[in-house]
Amino acid sequence: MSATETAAGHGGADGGLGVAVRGLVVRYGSTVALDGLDLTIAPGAITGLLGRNGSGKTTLLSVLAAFRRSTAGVVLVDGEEPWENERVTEQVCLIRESGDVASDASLRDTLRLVAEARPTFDPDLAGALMDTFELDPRARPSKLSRGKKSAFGVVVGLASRAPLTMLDEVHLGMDAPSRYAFYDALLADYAEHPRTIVVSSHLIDEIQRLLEHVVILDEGRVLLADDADALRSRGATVTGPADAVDAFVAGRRAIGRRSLGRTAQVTLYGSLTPDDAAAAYAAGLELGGVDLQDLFVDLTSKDGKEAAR
Amino acid sequence: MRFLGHSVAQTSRGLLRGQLMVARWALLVVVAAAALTLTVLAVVRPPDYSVVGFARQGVIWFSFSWAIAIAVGQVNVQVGLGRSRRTLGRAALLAAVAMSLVYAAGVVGLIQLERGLYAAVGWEHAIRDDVLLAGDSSQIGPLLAAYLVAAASGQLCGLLVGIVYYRAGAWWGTLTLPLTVGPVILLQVVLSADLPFLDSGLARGATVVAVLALVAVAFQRILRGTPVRTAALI
Repeated sequence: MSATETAAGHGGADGGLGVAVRGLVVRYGSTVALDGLDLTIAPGAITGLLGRNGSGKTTLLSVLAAFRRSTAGVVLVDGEEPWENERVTEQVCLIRESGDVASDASLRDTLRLVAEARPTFDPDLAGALMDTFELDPRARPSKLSRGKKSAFGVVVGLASRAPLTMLDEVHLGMDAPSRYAFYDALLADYAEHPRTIVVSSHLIDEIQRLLEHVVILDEGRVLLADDADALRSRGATVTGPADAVDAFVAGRRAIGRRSLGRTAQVTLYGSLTPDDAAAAYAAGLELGGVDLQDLFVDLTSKDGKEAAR
Repeated sequence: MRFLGHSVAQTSRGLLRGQLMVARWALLVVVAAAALTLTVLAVVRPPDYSVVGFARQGVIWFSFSWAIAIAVGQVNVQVGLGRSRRTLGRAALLAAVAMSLVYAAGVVGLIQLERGLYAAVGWEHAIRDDVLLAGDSSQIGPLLAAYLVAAASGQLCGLLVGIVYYRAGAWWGTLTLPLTVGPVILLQVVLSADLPFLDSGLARGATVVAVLALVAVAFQRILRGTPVRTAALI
């Protein structure tokens, strides 16, 4: 189901809730966090919500989960306004890095509470993830390290199996092995139980392999929203001997560069013609999809924003 | 009944679980303190008043403290679980009423046990707290009413204080304390003082119900629109 087919925000037959947002405005006093944002999130897919600090990611997710009310605009989750709408909110799970669990209740008691509240909760998955992240069920969140708190948020978020699951920078406090265990667990469970998952993160390099759709926010508006594959085809990476790479990219818009010894990799913005590709191969260069991180950095730069708009 | 929907019942059960455990310990503390006091008094000067009866202030302010903790701690938890604020508000009020009954019944039960003990050793037993509705410790109904009002005023005003602090922050929470804690004091006056315009039990009862209802409605209204803070206050 394409994004446009879900304009009303209804869920698809393949599981998960759709989201449709039109003209969303959220103000904190004189500060405008979301400024007439329009967005559609396809049901049954993993969407990456990317944006610089203060771009409005957390505010958007908070409105979708009815954590806060919008100032203006229309927000539909599964075709209905989520604010004070339990039919919708019991199917929506927002996990924030700050954690929204009782700090003095044991993890076991918290999971019991989640199981009571979430009809789709899977205790077996919760138990397996608790083992994966080496979490003691008797521990209390107030006694956990930042990384362990984040891991427990992941346990709650994944085991809840909410039709709309939103993970807001939830894995930032985790160490690298835990983060990769999280990515693997997310993909494995999503493959078995497809649903709408929104992952907000700064660690674009790490999460880009998870994403089917990408939304980039900037200054409270959607700068870009597209399929991840379509985004990757908006440019190319050129890898090979530094001299040959520099010769090939001369006169093109380079948005990222990495070097290792005499080998260089340059990310170009803009698609290559078949002739360009043939020339690259003839020069001994390798071509690949654009790196989302490079694309994100470029698009959110001043020049990039102008180009994207 | 719509007010007591499934999620309200489930949420209030969850809120009650923790509070009942704490209430058990609180009543045990009252028993221990009363036993210690009576032991000392039996040696120094046998009392002619109920020691447990002085637990009324404890009931008010202990309930008050726990209700604040619920108001500031549960918005993140319950909304995070997909509950509406309406559900949380109703569940919190239901739990507050239930806990008020538990504290009132607990203390009045202890007073009656104490009364039996006094009778066994030949001491006089009376309530010396200045609660208008109670004086004679054998009048279980008025005693229950007095302690129920005490606990309920503590519970409901605690919820109100907590939600104002949670929603509006420390400045407004502190500035509005006369309004949010005021009803506790007001109800003590209503039940204790000789007020010319409240000279009948019915008038006092109606005033008590009206004040408590006003506090409950204020709590619900403030909770309804409150955004979930980035991190819970406790």
